[in-house]
Amino acid sequence: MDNRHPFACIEREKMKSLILLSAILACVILDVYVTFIMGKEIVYTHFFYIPVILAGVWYYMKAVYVAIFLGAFHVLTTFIFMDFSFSLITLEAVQRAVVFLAVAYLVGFASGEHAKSLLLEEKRRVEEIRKSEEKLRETRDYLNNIIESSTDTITVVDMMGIVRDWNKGAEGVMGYRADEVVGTSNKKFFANPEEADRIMELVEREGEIKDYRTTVVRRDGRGIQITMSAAVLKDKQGVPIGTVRVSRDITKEVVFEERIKAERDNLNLIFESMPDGVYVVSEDYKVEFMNKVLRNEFGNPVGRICHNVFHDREEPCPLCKHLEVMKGKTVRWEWHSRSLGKTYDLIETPLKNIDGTISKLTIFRDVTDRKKADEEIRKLNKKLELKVMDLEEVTRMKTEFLSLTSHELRTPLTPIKAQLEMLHDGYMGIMNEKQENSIEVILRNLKRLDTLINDILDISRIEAGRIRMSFDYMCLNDAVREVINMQEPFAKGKGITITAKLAQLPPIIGDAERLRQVISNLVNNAIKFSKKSATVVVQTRRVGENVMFRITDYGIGISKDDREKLFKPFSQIDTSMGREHGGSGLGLAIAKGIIQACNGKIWVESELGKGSTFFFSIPITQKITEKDVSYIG
Amino acid sequence: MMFVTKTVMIVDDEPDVLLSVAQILEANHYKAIKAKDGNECLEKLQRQIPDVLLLDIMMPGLATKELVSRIEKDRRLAKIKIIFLTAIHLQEAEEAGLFASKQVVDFIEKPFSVRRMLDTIAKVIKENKL
Repeated sequence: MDNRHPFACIEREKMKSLILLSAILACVILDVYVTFIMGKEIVYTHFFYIPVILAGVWYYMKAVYVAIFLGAFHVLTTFIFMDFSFSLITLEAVQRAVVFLAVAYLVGFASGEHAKSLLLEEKRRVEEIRKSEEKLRETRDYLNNIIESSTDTITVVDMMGIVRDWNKGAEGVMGYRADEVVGTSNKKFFANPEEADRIMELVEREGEIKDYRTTVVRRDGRGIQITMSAAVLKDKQGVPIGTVRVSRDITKEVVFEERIKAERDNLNLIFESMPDGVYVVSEDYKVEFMNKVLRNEFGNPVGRICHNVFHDREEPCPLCKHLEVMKGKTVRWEWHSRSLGKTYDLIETPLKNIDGTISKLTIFRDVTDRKKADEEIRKLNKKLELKVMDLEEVTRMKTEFLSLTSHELRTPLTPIKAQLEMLHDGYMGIMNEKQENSIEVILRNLKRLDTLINDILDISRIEAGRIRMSFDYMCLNDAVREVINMQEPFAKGKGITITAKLAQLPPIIGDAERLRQVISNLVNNAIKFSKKSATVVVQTRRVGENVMFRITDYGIGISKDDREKLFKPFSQIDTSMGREHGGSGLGLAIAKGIIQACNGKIWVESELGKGSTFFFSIPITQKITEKDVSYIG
Repeated sequence: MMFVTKTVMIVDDEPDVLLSVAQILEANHYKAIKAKDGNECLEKLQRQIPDVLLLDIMMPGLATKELVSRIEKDRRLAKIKIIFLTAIHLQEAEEAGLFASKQVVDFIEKPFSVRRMLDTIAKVIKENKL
């Protein structure tokens, strides 16, 4: 096929027409020469077939024109030679010319057909080549796309360690553009530059490497962990020309793995350092893990059957909760070992393994000592309960006794007082001054006795936590004013002035009656312990979320030691004072009880010989309802 | 002053208290009826209906609470106002539920002062327009 056109190239194509023209010219010269010079009419016209056939082969049907030309020329020369007369020779020439024409036609036709088929084949071949080239280009584009769009880094490094190819993924991961690194050494990318040689050596020796982990440095100086797979690239002759490397950034994975490992190590440490026994058995009772406490006892039985290890049995233990745990339940139970005389608290939990199987995690704790202690505590509690019940009973009886006693004491006091008052008020006739004075003394002491009985009853209720308060909105200033009005005559009798400085106060929730009792007690004390013709200052004000009451006297004052026991029952500092000043010594203890029942505070500041100031404060907003009132601190 | 004599019944198991209270009331122009316990009180109420009842708490025989509830149930006695006159602490009386009845209007603690007792009775009479 290759040689089907001897004049495939254009220079030779030009020679074709030259040769043909030369052949035609030669034939013309030969015709003229033979006919006119030699004067012969011989069969030389065979030479004419040369240009005719050549033209047929080279120019196909155009050969007909050559044949016509040569035939016509030959006929013309014989016609001229015969002196322009039509003879036999001329006729023969015409016949030959026709033969030329036929030959030219046949050769031209055959050659033309042949050339046509050749052209067709050529066309087909060219088409095939075009198609396969297109396919090749598509495949190459496809592969390029894959390489370029991969987030993994794909690089080609030649045998000298020079980067030859660098995909988009590599640009993203490493921060270098391809045009910056192609043609440069790959050493600078490794945290340890020797790593470049080691990888090259490995790949050359093994032909490929897989999942090789190393640290590379990005353009911004940050080190990242990668895993690399590489293979040798060879040329047609099988000579290595470089390596192709695919790497992936696994920094996050490495960090994650490290964290998981650290957590696992911690967990292990926890298990190992636990004083409780910890072990894990598989679905088929095989010991998978055992912590130190248990290993000390049982050696290292990993892989052995648990009932075999613990109890030397061939069958699972009768109490074992294995099957329940395998169903996904967490079981807590107590096991008492008669042989060891010990009690264990067991918590058994299912653990899901990665492969879908379930293992049983058991934590068991020796609670023998705790059990004993619990028992002891239980017994002690029982005793304590009984004691508390006794005490409660005693307190209740005390209160009951006191209330009964006070009733019994008051009963005879009632007619005594009534009769004396009748005497005093002149129901039984007019008395003289001495009689009247005597009755006044009796009545005064009767009053004191009554107060004492009331105070004792109050304090016993406070101590028993049974004081009853009826809370409602109230104004502290109103209570203060009422008390001052009541105490005014007593103060005047001693020549004492009560000065009140009452600030604007919000209403509070309190028991007005009880608070009057407290204020009355404090005012009464202040008057009692003031020097003659002194002043007592009563003040109220708001302090933050509290209302505060204060009362100052300029009397005898209280020493530090005395201040401490001031609010305790029967603590009137000097018993002789009771006689001098009257009072049961219970007033401040009762006051404290009442203030505390209102969620308030009561306290004193004093200097011996100069006077005292008593304070109490009560919160403005407090949520107290009638129901939770029977309380006292 | 007063135009009609008011009647006060006094119930107390202590004869001396009974006597003293009656003396005070009579000296102040009240008509006093004495009863030494709950039963006697009920009995006397059959014959005479007082305006005010001075009632002790803690008496032998019929309990005070029971007595109050019987008076409350008797429509004839609906106008009587009851004042406790007792050595029991107010708080205990409240706890015992003695103030449940609407007829109970006041409380005088023993030992009472004559003035206070008279004032209370006068106040109750005035307030209830007896």
